[in-house]
Amino acid sequence: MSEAAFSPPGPASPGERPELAVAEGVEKEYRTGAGTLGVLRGVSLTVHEAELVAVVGASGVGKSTLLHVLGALDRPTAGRVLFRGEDLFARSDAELTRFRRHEVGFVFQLYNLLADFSALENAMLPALVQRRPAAEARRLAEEALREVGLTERSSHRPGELSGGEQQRVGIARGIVTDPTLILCDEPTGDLDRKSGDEVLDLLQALNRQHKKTIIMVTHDPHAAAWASRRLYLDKGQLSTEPVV
Amino acid sequence: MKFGGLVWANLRRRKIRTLLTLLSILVAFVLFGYLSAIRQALAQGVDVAGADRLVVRHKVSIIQFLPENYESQIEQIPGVAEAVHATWFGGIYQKPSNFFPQLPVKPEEYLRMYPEFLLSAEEKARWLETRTGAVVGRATAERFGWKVGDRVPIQATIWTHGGGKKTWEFDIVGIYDGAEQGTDTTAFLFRWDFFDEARDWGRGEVGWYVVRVADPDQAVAVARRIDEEFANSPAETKAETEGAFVQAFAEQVGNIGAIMIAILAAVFFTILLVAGNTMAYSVRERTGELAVLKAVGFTDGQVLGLVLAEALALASLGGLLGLGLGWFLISLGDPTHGALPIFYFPSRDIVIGAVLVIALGVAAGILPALQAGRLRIADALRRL
Repeated sequence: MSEAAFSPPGPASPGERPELAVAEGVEKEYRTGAGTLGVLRGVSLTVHEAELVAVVGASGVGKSTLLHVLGALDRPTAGRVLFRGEDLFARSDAELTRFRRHEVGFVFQLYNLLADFSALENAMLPALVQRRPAAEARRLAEEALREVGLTERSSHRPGELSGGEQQRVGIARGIVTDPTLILCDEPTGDLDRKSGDEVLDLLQALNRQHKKTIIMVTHDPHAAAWASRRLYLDKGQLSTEPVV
Repeated sequence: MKFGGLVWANLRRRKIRTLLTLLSILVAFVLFGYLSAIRQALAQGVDVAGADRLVVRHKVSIIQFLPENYESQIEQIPGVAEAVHATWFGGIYQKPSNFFPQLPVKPEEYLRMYPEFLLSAEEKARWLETRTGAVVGRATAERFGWKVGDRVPIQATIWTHGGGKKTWEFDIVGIYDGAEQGTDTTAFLFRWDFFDEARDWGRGEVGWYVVRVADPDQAVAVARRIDEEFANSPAETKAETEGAFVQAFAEQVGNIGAIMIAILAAVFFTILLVAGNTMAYSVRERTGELAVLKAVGFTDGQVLGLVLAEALALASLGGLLGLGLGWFLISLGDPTHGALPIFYFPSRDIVIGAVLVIALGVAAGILPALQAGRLRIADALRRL
């Protein structure tokens, strides 16, 4: 088990802010044909409100699995995840669905946009799932697209957008409901350097200007440089220093 | 965009596949409509047979004759309200394929027995005045373009007259309509007295009797009494309800209902596989998308409902269009131009068709829907 927390550069240290998400000894195993595969081996982590944390690691070390557990997409095999001090996985599946619906925004490496819908419609989706009236969902989606600089492309479908633009739609979809926590899974993994930097600038702006708490997993040290704090995952263990 | 938009978008995603599946379903339901109409046509009269009417025929076969004087004897049997006879003429108009039934009957008694044959008082009076007069059902009149005043020659195949002449000529004095949609309006009815006096042989013999019972609940008992009355006579009878008689007549070529059900079962099973396969593929290729929907807050039930709604939309679109197209084609009329004179899509079968549409949608979608509902988000995202 490893505890990873250090003060990022900036005016306010994380310790001065309330804890938002805390992982305590999280383990995750998968059963495979060859036996049990331990992906997370006692990961502990504390993320404070308004932090931008990068979890860095090579492919296959469990970065996405950690993100899935923190976002209640998957239950850990052992350990706890506290959200604002409350044990997340003591909740029922229905309560976890409500948690995802209201508290978390997801940004995926491959964007995962609905190909048959416009950028605006994609961005509206989480608001509609929250059962907001269509007009309100539309207004929120338009605001989110304005935030990511895609107002002019709101009627375009994903196939008509560049990779960077698609990821910005993905971010708009992630922030449309004003979630407490934004989880980004390799948000620049499928983009060229220029587009990737634009996306990272955007995430940083959301963190700094709107005080959004963001956890980003990435294999790319360049992307991780945008974070206010970097943690390193290797062999299912989290550390504050890169593994050599 | 509402959730209905998701269903619609998913159906549009693979347009060719959706179109082919829709066409398969559509054709199946057109076939369903046609088979329903054919079954109805072959069983014509069963549904509209009078519950209070019996048919009395020779015990050996309907082609054996009964004495005309049975009528008065039958009317003496307790429970019988009235009896009337009819005889199969079996004539040909122009060519053998122009089939329609021709029956010599006693006009007043016969029309009283069959109140569903609607004939105006004027036409009825004209029939009673005209010995060679005949009244013909609307379907047959329209089929041959006959109108009141026409003289129609019919070639006899059984009954010659005037010393071997085969051609009988009748004057059309009326055209009757049916009181119900299923009423047979193909019959050609002419006067018994004219027929019996003119025919070369068989005078005083009739084909069968139609008997009205006073109490329909007693129909079976009255039928037994009639058969007992003529037991051990030279012409024993077999009395049965009109519905049973028509049903037995229709089933001479086999159990039509069972044959239809067997064909439809095979067709719908095939369509179920086609639609189920479409849905299974659709869910499989959208695994990631469904996982994202769950990640942003869709519940398992909502995802299940989404897939099920898609299957229902597919089945409804194809099925209802098929039922509609079937109804339209059937309403154009008998495709054989005469062999199926009563040809319509029964409303009962339209309702059954609509239920089948829903059943097909649920059956085709339930397994993929359950699979989608149970989809584990993290597993699905990992597979992308």
